[in-house]
Amino acid sequence: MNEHIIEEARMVLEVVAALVMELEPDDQDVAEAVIYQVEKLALNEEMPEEFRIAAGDTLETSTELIEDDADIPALTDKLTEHITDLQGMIAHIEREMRGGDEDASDEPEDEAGIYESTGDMSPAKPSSGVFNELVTPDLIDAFIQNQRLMLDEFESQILSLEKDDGSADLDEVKRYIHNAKGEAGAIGLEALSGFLHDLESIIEQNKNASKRNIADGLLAAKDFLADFCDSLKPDNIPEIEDSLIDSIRTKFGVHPQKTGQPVKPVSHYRPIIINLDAERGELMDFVTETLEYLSNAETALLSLETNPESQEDLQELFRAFHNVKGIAGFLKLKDVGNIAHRTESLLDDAREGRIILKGNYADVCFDALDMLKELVEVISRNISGGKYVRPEGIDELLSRLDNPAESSEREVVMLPGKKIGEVLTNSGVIGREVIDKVLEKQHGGEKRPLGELLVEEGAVKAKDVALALRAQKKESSVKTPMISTRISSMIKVSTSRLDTLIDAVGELVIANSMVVQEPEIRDTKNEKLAQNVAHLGKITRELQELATSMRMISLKSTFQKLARIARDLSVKSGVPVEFSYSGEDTELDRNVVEEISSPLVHMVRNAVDHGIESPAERSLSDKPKKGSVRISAKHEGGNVVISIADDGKGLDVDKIRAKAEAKQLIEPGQELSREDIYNLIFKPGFSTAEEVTDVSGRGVGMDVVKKCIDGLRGRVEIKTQKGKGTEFIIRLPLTLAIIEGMLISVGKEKFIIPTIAIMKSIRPENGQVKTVVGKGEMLNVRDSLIPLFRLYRLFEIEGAVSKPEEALLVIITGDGKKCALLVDKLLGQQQVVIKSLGRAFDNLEGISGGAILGDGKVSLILDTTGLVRLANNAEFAPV
Amino acid sequence: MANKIDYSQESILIVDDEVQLLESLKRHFDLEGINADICSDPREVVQKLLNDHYNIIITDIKMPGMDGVELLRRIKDVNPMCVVIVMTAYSNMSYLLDCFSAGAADYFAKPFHDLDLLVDAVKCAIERVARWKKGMGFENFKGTP
Repeated sequence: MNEHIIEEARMVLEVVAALVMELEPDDQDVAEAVIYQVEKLALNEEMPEEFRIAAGDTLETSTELIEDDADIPALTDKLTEHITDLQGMIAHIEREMRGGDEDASDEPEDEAGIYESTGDMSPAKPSSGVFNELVTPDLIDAFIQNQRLMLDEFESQILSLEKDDGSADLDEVKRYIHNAKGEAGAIGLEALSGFLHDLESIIEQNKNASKRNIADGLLAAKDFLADFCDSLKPDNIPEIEDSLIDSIRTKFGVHPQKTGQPVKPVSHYRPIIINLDAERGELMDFVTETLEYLSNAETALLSLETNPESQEDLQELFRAFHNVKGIAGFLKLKDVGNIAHRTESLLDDAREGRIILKGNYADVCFDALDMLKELVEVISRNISGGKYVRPEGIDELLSRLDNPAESSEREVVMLPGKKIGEVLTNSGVIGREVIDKVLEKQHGGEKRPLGELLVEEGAVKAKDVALALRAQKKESSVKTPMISTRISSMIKVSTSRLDTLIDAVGELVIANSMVVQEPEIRDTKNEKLAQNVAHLGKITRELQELATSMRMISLKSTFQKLARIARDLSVKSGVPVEFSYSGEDTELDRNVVEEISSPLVHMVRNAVDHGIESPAERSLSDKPKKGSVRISAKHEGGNVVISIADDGKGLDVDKIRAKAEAKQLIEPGQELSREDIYNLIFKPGFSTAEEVTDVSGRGVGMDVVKKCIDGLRGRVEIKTQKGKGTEFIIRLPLTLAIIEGMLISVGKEKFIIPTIAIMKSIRPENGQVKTVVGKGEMLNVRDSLIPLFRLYRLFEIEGAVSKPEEALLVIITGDGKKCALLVDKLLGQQQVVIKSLGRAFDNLEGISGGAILGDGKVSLILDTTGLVRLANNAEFAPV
Repeated sequence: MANKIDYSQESILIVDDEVQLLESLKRHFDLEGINADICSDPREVVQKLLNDHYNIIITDIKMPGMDGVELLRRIKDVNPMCVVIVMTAYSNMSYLLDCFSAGAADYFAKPFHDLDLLVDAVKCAIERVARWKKGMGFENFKGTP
C-alpha cells in the first residue's frame, strides 16, 4: 500500500465530509454523491480490511439517505461521526506505515499474503480465524439468527423443488444463496462468501441436472451452512475445507475440477459491502418497479380529475414519470424514455402553474400512461427473448405530447349527479356485477374511492374512470380522494424487548386485579366506576392475550426440518417412508418451539429407523410398501398436542420387559401395567434398538426426550399396537410464561402447584397413612404405597393442619414417580405468570419460581419434580 | 468482482474543450478495453446523449460555451441515472460541491499525474452500471431501437 492511496482516501473523505454538510432533505444528488464516494472507499481493495469494513458500515448508513422518509439531520450527525472515525483510521494507518518503514521489507505487499504465509503452519489462524474488531458480536449474532431463519425456508424450498410441485423454483433458491453471500461478505466472512459464490456458479452450470441431484447438492450445502452458523462465534470463524465445494459439485452429478486447474483465490471476492447497488438492484426489478410507478401515477392522475391543482398529486405524478424516465434512459429504452420525458415536461408546466392539468392535458397523460404500460409488457417479453414489437400509435402520442394544447378533449356525455358506478355502466365500459363486487369490498373496510378500486382490480382503465368522473363532475362535490400510502406490514423487534413488554403487561394484569379486588371498588355503588373498571379489565385481558401471542411462532419450520430428516433417513436406510405433517400453523411460545425441536427430531428418527419395517417385512403383513410417519399439531384445551405416529411394527411389550429386566431397570416378574411397560422406554439406559445405527442410538435416548418434555411442563403418552404402529402424544403448555396452577394453603402460606403435575387430591381415611421403616410415611392408595410429604415441615410453617385425616393430600407426579403432599386446603385454580426468583435461589429445593397473586401477594410455585425426588429419597423423608 | 467484468459493454463519453487531450484520453481508454467517445463541445452533449444513451460521462468542469454545473444539470435531466465524473483543475472544494449537488458522482483532479486513477474511476462506474442493470434483470440487454 503506498502513500498515494492513503492520500487519495483522505481526499475522498474530505469531500464526503463536505458533502455531508451540504445534505438537505429531498436533495437526492448530494446524497447519491455521498454514497458513491463512500462506496469507492469501501471498495478500494488496496485499503486495509478494517478500513473497508468501517467504510462499509458508513455506506450502509449513507444508503439510508435516499430512503423515502430519511431523517437527514440525524443521519448527518451519524455520518459525521463515521467520517471522523474513518479519518482517525487513516491517520492510524499512516502512522503505522511510517513506524513500520524500517522493517518494511518483511511486510508482505497485500493483506491476503499475510494470512496465507502464517495460516498453514499455526493451528490458530491469527487473522482469518477471528472477526475484525469492528464486527461486533451483535452483528455476528444477527447474522446467525438471520441465517438460521432463512436456512429453514431454504431447505423447504429445496424439498419442494425436488418434489417439483411448482411451489418453488431454482431462482428462489439462488436468491437465497445470493443474499446469504451478501450478508456473509458484509461481516467479513470472506471464505464463506467465496464458498457461496462458487455454489452459485455450480447451480448455474447445473441447472439442468436432475432434480434429485440438485436437491442432494443443495441439501449438503444447507447442512454445511447450518453447521457453520452453529459453530460461528465472535472469536472463531470455522474453516471451510477446499474439498467441500468439490463434494457438493459431485453431488450435483459433476466431477470435481481437475487438480491442474487453479482454484479461484478467495481474496478474489469483494469482502465487504452491504452492496448498495445489489440491494437496490433486488428492489429495482424493472417491470415491477415501473408498474408500481405507473400505478402511483394513475392514482394521482385520477385524484387530479376532481382536484386538478393539487400540488401533492402533481408532485407524485411528476416523480413517477421522472423515475420511469430515469430507468428508461439508463436502459436505453428509447420509446419509454421519450414518452416519459415529454410527459414529464408537460407535468412540469402543470406544476409551475403554466397549465391546468385537465381536459385534453389530462387525456394525453392517461394515454401516455397506457402506452407506457403496454411498453413495459413488450419489454418484459423482450428481455426474456421475445422480439421488440413497437406498439402502434407511439409517434402520434409523441406529437400530441409535444403539442398537448392542440389535441382535442374527449367528448363526454354529461351525467351530473349520477354515481360513478352508474356512469361507468351507462357508458358500457363495465358490467353491473363487477361494480357490485368492488362495492362490497368497499363496504368491507376498503376506504378508497370506487374508481381507484376498480382500476386496481383491473376492471377498467384509469382513463375511463377519469371520463366518468368528468361526466358526473358538474354537481358532484366529492372531495379529493386520498392517495393511499403503502406501509410495510412488518417490523423486527428483538425478543428481549418483547419479553420486557410481556413482563410489563403481566404487571399490569396484576395491578388491575389488585384494583378490582379492592373492597371499595368491588362493592362500589357507583355504577359508572364499576363500568369503567370492567372496561379496564377487558382491555387489560386483551392486551395480555395480544402480548402473549406476540411470542408465539408456528411449528412450521420445525416440521419442515423434520421432513428433511425423514427424507435423508429414508434414503440412507433404504426404507421408503412417506412423511407428512399437518397443523404446522399451530403456534407455540418461541422458547417451547426451540426446546421441543430436538426431542421431535429424535422421535422422528426413531420412527423411521426403528418403527418402520423393511419393505419385505411390510409386504408380509399386507402393509403398503412405503411406510408412513405422520406428525400433527393441534390445540386442545389450553395445551398444544403434538402427535408423532408411524404405521410400523409397534412396541413389543415382551421385548421391552425382557430388556428392562436384563438392564435391571425392573425386578424380574414385577407386576406392571401395559402403560408402565411402555413408559420403561423413557428410562435412562434403555434402548430397544438391537444395534446402534448410524442415525439413531447415538446415546440420546428416549429418557432425554422425556426429560426435555418434563422441563417444558409437558407430558408424553404412548399409544401402540403391535404390528400396527406407534403414536407418541406430547402435550405442551402454550407458553412458558404462564402456567395453570392450583392454589393451596399450608398454615397461613399459599403455594401454587402446576396443575399438569396433579393427579388427584384425596382426604385420607383412618389407617390409609402408614409409617414404613426406612421409608417414612406412606400413603396407601389401592395397594400401592406413595411417599407422603408434609409441606409444613419442609418449609417450617407453623399452625398448619398436621393430621392427615383432617388435611388434604395432593398426589403429584414427576419423573414417573409419585408423592402425596399434605396441604391444608385447595383454594382454587388460576393462571399465574411465572417470575423467576433469580440466580441466588437457583438451588432452592422444592421451589421453581414465584408468582404474584390477584391480591398482590407473592406466592411460590412448587417444583413438583424436585419434591417427588425429595420425597422418594429416604434421607429427606419426614419421619 | 467475481467474474471479471467486460469493460467494453458500456461506452463512455468524454467531454472536454481540448481536442488533443480528448484524443489522448481516448487512446488510453482504448488500451484498457473501454470504448470511449469524445465530444469537444458541451452544447452537443445533450443531443449525443439522446442519440446514443451514455450511462457514463467524464466531463471537464470549465469549458467555453457552457458551465460544467449547467451541463451536469442537463445530462441529469435526460438520463438521471447517468454516472458523471467531473474533471477539475480546481482544488476548490466549494465548486466541487456544486458539481456534486448537480448530480456528479465522482471527480478527478487535473492535471493527470496518474491516469490509472481515472481509469479506475471509470471501471468502478462501469461495474456499478453493470450491477444496476443486472439487478434490474437487464444484464445483456442492448436497449430497444
